[in-house]
Amino acid sequence: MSTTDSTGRDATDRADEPLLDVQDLKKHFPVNTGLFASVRFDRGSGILPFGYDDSSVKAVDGVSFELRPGETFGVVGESGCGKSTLARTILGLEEPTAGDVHFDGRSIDEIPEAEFRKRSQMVFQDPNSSLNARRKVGHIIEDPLEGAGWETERRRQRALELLEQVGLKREYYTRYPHEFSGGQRQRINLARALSINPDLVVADEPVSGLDVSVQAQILNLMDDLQTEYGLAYLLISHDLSVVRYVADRVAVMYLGEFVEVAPAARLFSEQYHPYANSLLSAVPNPDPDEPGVTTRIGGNVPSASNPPSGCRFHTRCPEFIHPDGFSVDAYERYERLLADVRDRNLEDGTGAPDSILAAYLDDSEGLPSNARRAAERAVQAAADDKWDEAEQALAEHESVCQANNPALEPVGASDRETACHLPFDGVGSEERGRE
Amino acid sequence: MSSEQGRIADTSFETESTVVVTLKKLKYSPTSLVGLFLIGALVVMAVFSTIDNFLLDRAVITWLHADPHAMNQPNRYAAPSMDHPMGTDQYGRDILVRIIYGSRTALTIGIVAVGISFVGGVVIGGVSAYFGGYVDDALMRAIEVLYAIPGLILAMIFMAIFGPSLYNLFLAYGIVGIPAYARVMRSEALSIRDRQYVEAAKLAGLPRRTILFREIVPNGIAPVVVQATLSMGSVIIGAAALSFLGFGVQPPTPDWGRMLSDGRTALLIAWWVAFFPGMMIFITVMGFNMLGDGLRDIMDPKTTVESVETDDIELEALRADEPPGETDAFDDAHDGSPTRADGSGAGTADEQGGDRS
Repeated sequence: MSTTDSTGRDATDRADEPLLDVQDLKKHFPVNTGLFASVRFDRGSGILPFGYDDSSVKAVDGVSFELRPGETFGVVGESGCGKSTLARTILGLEEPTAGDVHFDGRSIDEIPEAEFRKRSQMVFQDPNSSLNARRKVGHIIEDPLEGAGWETERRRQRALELLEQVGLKREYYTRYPHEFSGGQRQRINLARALSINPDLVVADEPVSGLDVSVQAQILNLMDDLQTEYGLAYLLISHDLSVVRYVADRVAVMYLGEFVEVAPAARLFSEQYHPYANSLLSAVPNPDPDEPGVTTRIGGNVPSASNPPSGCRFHTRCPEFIHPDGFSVDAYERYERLLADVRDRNLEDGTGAPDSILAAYLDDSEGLPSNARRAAERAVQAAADDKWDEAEQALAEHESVCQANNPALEPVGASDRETACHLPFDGVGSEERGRE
Repeated sequence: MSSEQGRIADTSFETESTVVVTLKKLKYSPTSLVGLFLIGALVVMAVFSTIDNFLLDRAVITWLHADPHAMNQPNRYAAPSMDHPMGTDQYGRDILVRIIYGSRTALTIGIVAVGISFVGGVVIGGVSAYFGGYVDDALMRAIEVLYAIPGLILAMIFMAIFGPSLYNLFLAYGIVGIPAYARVMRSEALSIRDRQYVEAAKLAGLPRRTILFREIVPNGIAPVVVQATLSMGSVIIGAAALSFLGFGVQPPTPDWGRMLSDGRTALLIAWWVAFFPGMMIFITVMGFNMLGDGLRDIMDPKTTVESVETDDIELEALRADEPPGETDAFDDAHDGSPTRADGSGAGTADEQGGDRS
């Protein structure tokens, strides 16, 4: 009884080659669309008193990962960190701004659309709006088969088979979506995604709209189907327990970037990146004797249209690296001076350099003498209108977290990558920290 | 394999076509039955007058009551009586038979012109919203050009181009109506375009026309159907204006709109000349409205027309279905019971809300 399509590949034949290879994928959404919406009044910009506002929301900004056949790759992160955009961009629902997506060794642009659609499918988050209320579920499940050009009778056979496989009855073929519960609808969603027997299933928060007990059912079902068909899942979720339960490898995403990628079991036992650490420590602990949830990070996620310089997490990082010799308070003052120099706008700009310096740095303790000298030079240069020089002088003593955006690099045990300037186990990052 | 086949047969899929199922469900909806009856009566009248007029040369109607074209000047503006149940007009012609004969033009003009507008509007609006960008701009600007010119003038322009005949009248009025439908359809399609099931269909690799006409249009058609039933009356009256100006229906062919406008001048001395044709237009519009409402409810799988069950109704859907503001309170105050299980309240549940995440 083989009604599955022959283009589906055997999961074991090339298990060492990645099924999906994403390199430096970026997706930016322009804040303003259209010519006139983008024009901003700006008196300081040369001849015309208008500027062109080309800022964009950097939803996904340089994400790279590999997904092997039969593997479940989880992506976790706060709301708005770009998880869903990542999923949609990979599947071609959004046009990537930059970067490459290779599917089974070939670039997505080279694969004919029809073939790619046969080999990748998506399970949507909302079981209510992902099924067309006016069509029978049988026909909905058949959609990918219809897209692939199967005949009606064969499609029906397959749909009936699938209904049973996802734990529904064949008789449900002629029912409409509103006659089902949320969990059942999600099963229909799964059946639709699996009908064409794809190699890759992208599940965007597949269980977040469901009760906890139903969540487990769906996750187990997904797991069973994976074993049976050798599917690769890209599982997007904000629910850490879900990811922990099903994922083989997990990436933690923050503001459009991966900050840590690690095998699920190891990530949940030990995290290198402070963000991953804070995120995972926010999972409620079921043990009543343990203290409750402790939040290590405060504040809000910075705007994705204007992300912080350097490491994107530095504005909220509990382990922010202060340069040698600085006290916390002194570095804050120094940072404020640097930010204003960058904006070309010093407070009390008309005053003498000394008073400006005093206004910013006060008589702070904990400011290294060479940093103070740099500040003096910078304020002097700023007074002479040499802003670049001023900036340069100050930037020398800037924290590495603000100066450089750390790349995802292997750290600690094998198969783990993290993007942080902190030195871990003496592995490699100290040199980077001195840059 | 054989047992499998048996089970498939047991589940009885597609033993009945959608149209048959829809018509069967019609019996549970009293409103649409009344509508169906009214439309049916009109269709019978129209078919009868067509056969009688073209094949039998008005023999049957003359035998039954009177010749709709026969003038009788001494008997002009006769009040309704046993001889002339609806009176006579300014040439002494019997209004009752003229009304029966007028159903032919009225009904065809309503159905054909509204049909052209409906299909054209749905296609243009749907395509415009779905493809977006330059396609959207081009189509909508063209539609706005049509909208900017008063309907009657535009219809006259078309009639002048095509030449005055009844068929060109249908066509002209059909084209004039397209903009309204296109805009309603476009706004609906715009909100549906980004629903997840549309994306799922995209990911399924379905062709774009299938996505448009199977996923988007059916979910946004309800307001367009309402628009169609409402504009039926104005099209019949508008066509009368054209006939009056010498385009379209030519005397002595009876036409309700024409009779209405002719009778207007004598309204103070002979109210019946204008009253009965007006009444017929009203009944026609009512009939289409009732049938349209019923059909909309029946074609929506979320609405149960058969029996009253209250458990499946989502409050949000109900709310979204209502126009915002005072109607809520008004309705509740009047029908007393807050649950409207199978009525029009839940009818358009899924076009508007319900699916919102």
